[in-house]
Amino acid sequence: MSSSSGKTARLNRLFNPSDGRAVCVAADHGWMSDPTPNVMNLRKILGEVIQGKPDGILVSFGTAQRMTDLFTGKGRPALIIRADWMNMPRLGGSNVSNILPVTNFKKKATSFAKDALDMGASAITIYYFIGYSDEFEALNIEQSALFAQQCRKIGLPLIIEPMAVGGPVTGVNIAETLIASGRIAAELGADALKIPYTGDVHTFKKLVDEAGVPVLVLGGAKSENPRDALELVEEAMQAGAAGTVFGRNVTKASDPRKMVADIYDLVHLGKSVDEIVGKQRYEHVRLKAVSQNCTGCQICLLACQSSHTGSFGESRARLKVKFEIKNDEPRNSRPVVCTLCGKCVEACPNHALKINKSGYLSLYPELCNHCGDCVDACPFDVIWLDENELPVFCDFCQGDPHCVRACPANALEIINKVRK
Amino acid sequence: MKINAGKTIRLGDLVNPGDGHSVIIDTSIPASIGAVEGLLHFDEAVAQINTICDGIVVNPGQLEHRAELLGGAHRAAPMVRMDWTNYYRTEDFCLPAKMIHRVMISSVADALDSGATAGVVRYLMGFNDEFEAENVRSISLTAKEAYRESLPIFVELCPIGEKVNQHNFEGTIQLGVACMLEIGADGIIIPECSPAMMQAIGSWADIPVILRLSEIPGPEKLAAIFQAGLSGILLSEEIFRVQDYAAALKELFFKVHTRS
Repeated sequence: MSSSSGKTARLNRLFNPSDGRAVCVAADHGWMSDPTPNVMNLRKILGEVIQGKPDGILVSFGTAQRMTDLFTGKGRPALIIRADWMNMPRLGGSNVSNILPVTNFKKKATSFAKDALDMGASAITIYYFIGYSDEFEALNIEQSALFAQQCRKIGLPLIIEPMAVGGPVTGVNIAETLIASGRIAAELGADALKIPYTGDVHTFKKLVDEAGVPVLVLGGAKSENPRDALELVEEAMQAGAAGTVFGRNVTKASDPRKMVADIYDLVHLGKSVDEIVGKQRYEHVRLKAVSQNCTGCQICLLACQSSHTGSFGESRARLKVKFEIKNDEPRNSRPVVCTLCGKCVEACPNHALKINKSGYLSLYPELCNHCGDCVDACPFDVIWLDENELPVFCDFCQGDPHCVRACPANALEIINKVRK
Repeated sequence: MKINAGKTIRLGDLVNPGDGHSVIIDTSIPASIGAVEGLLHFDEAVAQINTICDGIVVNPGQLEHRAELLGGAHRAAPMVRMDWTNYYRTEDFCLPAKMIHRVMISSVADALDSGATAGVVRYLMGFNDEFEAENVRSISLTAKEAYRESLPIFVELCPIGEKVNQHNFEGTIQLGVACMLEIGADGIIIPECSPAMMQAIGSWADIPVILRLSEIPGPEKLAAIFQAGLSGILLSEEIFRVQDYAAALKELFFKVHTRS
């Protein structure tokens, strides 16, 4: 924890001093993505959110200025100001927002730390993007360090939000990247982190352990079902997180008050998801090949490789298109995709491959002995070893497979997560 | 070289005025690549060595959050790492660097506010001309601010760019020393080089010159370092991977400060 008395006092406003945990709500989306209903009805929604007793609410400077009353008085949530702006949700490829698409990823500081302090904030939050490009990251590092210096000077806690995005970030390295970025942020001067879940308890625990500052897990895109979001909180808390900063999963919830109250029960009261919403089981996102629709164009391969490596080609794709050969001529084609059959998981002698609770295959690189047994075991031939002899496999693009989006013939379908 | 009182007092916490020697440990690598073996938990690692070295290079965040471990009459003086680079992101890092960058992450005022005894900046040599010019400008501005605020500045020479090869490596170090003497550095950290080059630099530079090593030197190497007129040793994070590194460092610390 910080040695500054100003920081200590303000962190105590945000993190409950009795358990060191915090339930925060992010409501800062209005100037970074489309004016969705949760943005346009923000005052009403935040009124409901506050009834769920969050410890803090993250808003932009303008919202804080207009809605000061929501933060005034004992028992009201601590004010956290978003001190920067970015346009990632408006990037052409994003599935979040496209009223006015942009082609260049930008991030700008929009408030000084002192502005937030004068506003009565208990902390500020800024992004730290890693993975997009070396130059963009260096800019992020520089901005983060400047904010850290401002915050140290005035005793205002700094929450850094590492985001691993960009072509080189894949299902294989995203956990490792997030773990590294958390520690890097702490070394720069973050007093706490707001960070995405790595996908499993094991890697998130490593992230929390190595960061050395309190870690708040963020919720990301709105989950299909509240239970999914609550399970993420439960796992993050098991891994040692200090709390949550959930945005759309709260502000877009049918009952924002209940959603916050449920998260509060998980974070502060240590309840389980089963205790809160009852027992339930899932099946996860899968891909289905519709062979009769396949034209053999192989655009799916290009989309896959491009989305994961940023390069043009098909040799590094994580699915295949197979052709039936007749009289030495390629005929009927069909996409071949990972079915999550688990043969690779079974074949791995070191248990380096696992299917995580999000339903995707996870690699624990430190356990991998590069034997290639997973490659041999794959009945569909869709696992291969990269230049480091680590297995590369389909990560389902974390639920939004690019191959499906790119296929012009609907030869690939997503089989949605189904509740049993 | 005449320096101001504030710098003299602070330098005295880093380079023992009694023998002119120093042992410094660098813990700043996690700012570039995240936690590394031996430094997974900064506080546990530093608590084992903070009384058996003269200085510890730390990032601004660690200095702020773990200030209680550093400074004081009998503990290592904190030297704040004032810049960041992605140079250390090699192929074994999850996101290897494609283009090298360096940015400042602390200012002299920030370092002093945080209780730093000195600042450390890198001079990354051998990259493109624009990169080098910006690096020199940045160090120069820092040195001027540090002069006004009485904070000693150590410059770490890193001859690592694509223009550096085995033929010009030592010449590049010499060039870096010359440049940093002119720029106003209070101390220079050089990479491992030949005894002749150490001798040349040791007899020329009138400010502390520290040799960066990745492992604890044996008796012969240690003797060569001080015979060459260098002021001490900076050990990189690899020290934390040595079994019982605290005992090894304690022995080194004792040897370094009893030589004279």
